[in-house]
Amino acid sequence: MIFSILEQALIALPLIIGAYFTLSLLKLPDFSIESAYLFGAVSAFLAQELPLPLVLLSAMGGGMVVGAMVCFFNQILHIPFLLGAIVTNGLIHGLTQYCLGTSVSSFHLAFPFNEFNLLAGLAIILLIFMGFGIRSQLGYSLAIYGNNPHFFDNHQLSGRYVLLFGVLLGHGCAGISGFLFAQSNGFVDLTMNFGILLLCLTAIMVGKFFLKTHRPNILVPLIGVFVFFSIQQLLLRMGLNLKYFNAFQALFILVILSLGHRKQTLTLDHLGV
Amino acid sequence: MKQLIFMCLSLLLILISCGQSAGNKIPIAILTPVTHPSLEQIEKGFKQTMEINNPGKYHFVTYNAQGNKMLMRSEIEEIAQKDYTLVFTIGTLASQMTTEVFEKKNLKTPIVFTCVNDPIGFKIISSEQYPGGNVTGVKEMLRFEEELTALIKHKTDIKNVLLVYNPAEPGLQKDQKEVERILKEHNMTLQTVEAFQTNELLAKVSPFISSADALIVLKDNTVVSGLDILVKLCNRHQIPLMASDLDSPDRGAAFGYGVYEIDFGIEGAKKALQILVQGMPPGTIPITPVADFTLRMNPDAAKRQGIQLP
Repeated sequence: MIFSILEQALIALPLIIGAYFTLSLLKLPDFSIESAYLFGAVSAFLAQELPLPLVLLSAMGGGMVVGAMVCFFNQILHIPFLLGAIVTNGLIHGLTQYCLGTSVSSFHLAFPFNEFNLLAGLAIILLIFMGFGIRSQLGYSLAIYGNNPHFFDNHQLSGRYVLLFGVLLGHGCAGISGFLFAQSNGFVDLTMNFGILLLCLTAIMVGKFFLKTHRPNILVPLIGVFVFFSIQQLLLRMGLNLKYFNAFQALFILVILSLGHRKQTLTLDHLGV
Repeated sequence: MKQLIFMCLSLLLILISCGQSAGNKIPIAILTPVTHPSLEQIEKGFKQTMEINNPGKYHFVTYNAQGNKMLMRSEIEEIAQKDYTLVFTIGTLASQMTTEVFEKKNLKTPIVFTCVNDPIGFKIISSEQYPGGNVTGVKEMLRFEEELTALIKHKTDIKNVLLVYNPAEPGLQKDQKEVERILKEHNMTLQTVEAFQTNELLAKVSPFISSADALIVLKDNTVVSGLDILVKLCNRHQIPLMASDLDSPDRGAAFGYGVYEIDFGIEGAKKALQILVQGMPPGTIPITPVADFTLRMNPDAAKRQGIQLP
C-alpha cells in the first residue's frame, strides 16, 4: 500500500508543485493548469522518438506553452485571468485533438531502468531545485505578487515578469506530471485532465492545513500530495462507495477550509489556497 | 463547531468501514469508468450470470472512477493490492489502464475486459485468437453495413446522411470513417457534426438538420445522453433517427440496430467462468464479439419522423 501511495504521489508531485506556484503563491484562478497537464502529455507523446531528457523537456515545454497562452491573454490582451484560462482550455482542447489525431493514443516509452526510479529521481531533482528556488527571492516575489499584484508597479518594477515566470514554471511542472501519468498508464487521453484541479486544490489545502506557514514552502505540496493519496487509498481500502467520491472530496475541502482558514477572507477570484 | 465536524467525520468513517466482508466467497473486482445506464446493464449482466452459475459463491466489489482518470488509477492500485481472484473491466480505458498497471507490477490476476472496440490497437492484447498473458475478453463490434441497409430499406430516397458524434470517445473516429465509406458505396454523402458535450447538440445540429435525409447516432455515450434533443429535431423536420443501440427507440429514435448491453456482461461472465470454474488460462481463451444484432423499431416515433412502417 505504501509503495502504491508513493508511486501515485510521485506522479502527481510536479503537478501539485506547479499548482502551488500558480494557485497558492500567485493566487491566480488558474483553471488552465488542467490544460498544461494534458498538453504536457501530448507534447511528450509527439516527442516519444527522442531521448528521454528531450521528451521531458518537451513535456515541460508543452505545459509552458499553455502558461504562455494564458499570460498573453491576461497581460497583453488584458483579459481577466479566469476568463483567459477558460479560453485557453478551449483552445488547447482543439489543439490536443489536432496533435493526437484521435481521442486516445497508446504511449509506451522503454526505459533502461525501473519506471519508479525515474519518478523518484525526478521528484528529488524537482524538490531540490524548487525547494531552493521557493526560498529565494523568486519564491518571495511570487508570494508578494499573490498578496498584492500592484506592489511591483508601486516600486517602479514590472510585475508582469514575475507573473509570467511563475506561471511558466508552474505549468511546466504540470506538463511533466501529465507525461508521467500518461507513461505510467500507457496512453494519452483527451479527458485525462478532468478533475485535476480538484486534486490540486485538495492537496494544497491539506498541505497548508498541516504546515501552518505564511512563507513559501516546498513542503506544502509535498505533504499535501502524500496525505491526499494516503487518505484516498485509505478510503478505498475501507470500502467507501466510490459513487460518492467526488462529493466526499468536495466535503473534505469544505471541512479543511472551515477548520484551517476560517479567518482568511476570500475574494471572488480566490480558490481557497 | 469543530467537535461537531470531527464527530460527523468519525461517524462517516465508521459507516464506511462497516463495508461488506467477503467471507469465504471468491472476490471479484469490477472496474467501471463512470456511472451510465449501459454500463450498469453490463455490470448487471456479469453479476447475474456469475450468480446463476454458482449462487452465493462470489463477492463482487465495484470500483467506479466517475470519469476521473487519477481516481481510476488509484482504484487499480487498490485492486492490485487486494487478493482479487479476477478483475472485470468495462470499456477501453479502464481495460487498457488495468492491463498496463498489472503488467508493470508483474501481477498474474486474470483480467476479463468487455466493450473494447479495438483491443489490439489499444495494445491490451496482441492477438484475438490467442491473447496470451492473463487477459481475455469481449470485443465490441458494430455492423454499419447492415444498419445502413435497414435504414435504406425503410427510406429509399436517402441522399444526405447526418452523423452526430463525439470524436473524443475512443474508437468513434474510426466508426465515422467506416460509415462514410459505406455511404459512399451507396452513392450517398455524409455530413458529420462533432459535439463534445450534450449542451452543444442543439446549436451544432440545427443548421444541418434541414438538409439531411436521415440522422445517425453511433454507440456514443455523449450523444446518446442528449438523444432527446435530436429526437425533437428529427420529429420537427420529419427525418428518421437511426441509433446504434437498442435503448434509443424507447427514447424516441425511429430505429435502433445493435446488441443488448447486458450481453457484454453475460459474455464477459462466461469467460470469467471458464477461468474460475474450468481452470482455463485467460490467455488461451479467444476474444469474441457480442454478435447477436437486432433491429428495434418504434412505430410511433417512425411515424413522427416521416416513415410509414408496414
